[in-house]
Amino acid sequence: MADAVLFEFLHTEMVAELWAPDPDPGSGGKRRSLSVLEGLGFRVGQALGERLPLETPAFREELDALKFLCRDLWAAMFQKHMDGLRTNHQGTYVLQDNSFPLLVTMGSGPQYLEEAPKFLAFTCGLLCGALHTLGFQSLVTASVASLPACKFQVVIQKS
Amino acid sequence: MADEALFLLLHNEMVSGVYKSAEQGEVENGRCVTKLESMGFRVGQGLIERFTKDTARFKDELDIMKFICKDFWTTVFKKQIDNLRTNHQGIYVLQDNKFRLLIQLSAGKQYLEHASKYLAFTCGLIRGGLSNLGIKSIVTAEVSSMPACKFQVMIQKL
Repeated sequence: MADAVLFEFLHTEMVAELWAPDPDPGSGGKRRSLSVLEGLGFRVGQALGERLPLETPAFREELDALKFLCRDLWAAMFQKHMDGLRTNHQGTYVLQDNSFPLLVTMGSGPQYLEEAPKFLAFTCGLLCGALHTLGFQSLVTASVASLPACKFQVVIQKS
Repeated sequence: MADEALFLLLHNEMVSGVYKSAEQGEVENGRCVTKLESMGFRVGQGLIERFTKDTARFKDELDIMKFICKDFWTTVFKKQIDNLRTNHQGIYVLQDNKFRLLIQLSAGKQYLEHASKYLAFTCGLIRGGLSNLGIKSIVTAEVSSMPACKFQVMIQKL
């Protein structure tokens, strides 16, 4: 309870403070406004990936890494497991959380749908960073159809 | 272990994120420190709301300060404040001999000049917590030898 609340408030402050500015806009001056939050999440995910217990750390299968995210990483972050994991067995995975803790306090339904992506960027980076620590390059995006359920799509990059 | 590390990791990212996104002159004029302190203030307010909803009303100012030193500090930093001193005229000094946000920096004086970046959020945390308990205060921090830290709380008369 205490730790979850502390993280929740801290995350809210980071979103409020850091969601807009991107010091490295890239070509055309178009700002990827959530990239700073994703970058923060990536580094936290990398570090958590190092700290969480791993069974047979070497030669870990891709699917095992995704299961690790759904169980151990999610439990450490949100004190629950991911609700669903689906894959096309070609490197694309969809992780579904029917009651994502960072969106629960926003209410249910479409009212704050527009603001929701700000609160998902950090977690996308977190998943990507943890996978990076486990040896996988990935692209993670999130989508919300109706609060507080959301889906994280993970595409493993072939190197 | 992972749970303990989460707050430290987030705090690190917050500090570096605020400084990286600083605009011209913001570092020099103290704006970055203010941002971190303000963030801490709001988190402190929120935490107090959650933690004290089942607690009996505090009987006096010293009782509130003891709560900050024990329960509040343990919630955030996993240990109690090591020492609380007061002149009984509204000034309190909270000493943490191994402040958790400074342990990641080296012991000694090498990074002393950067320590204030890692204290601003916690100053705000204390001030925000006290604010929601009805106390208006000014909180400052100082480090003389890493990782020991003193937070000075000056209670404002309303």
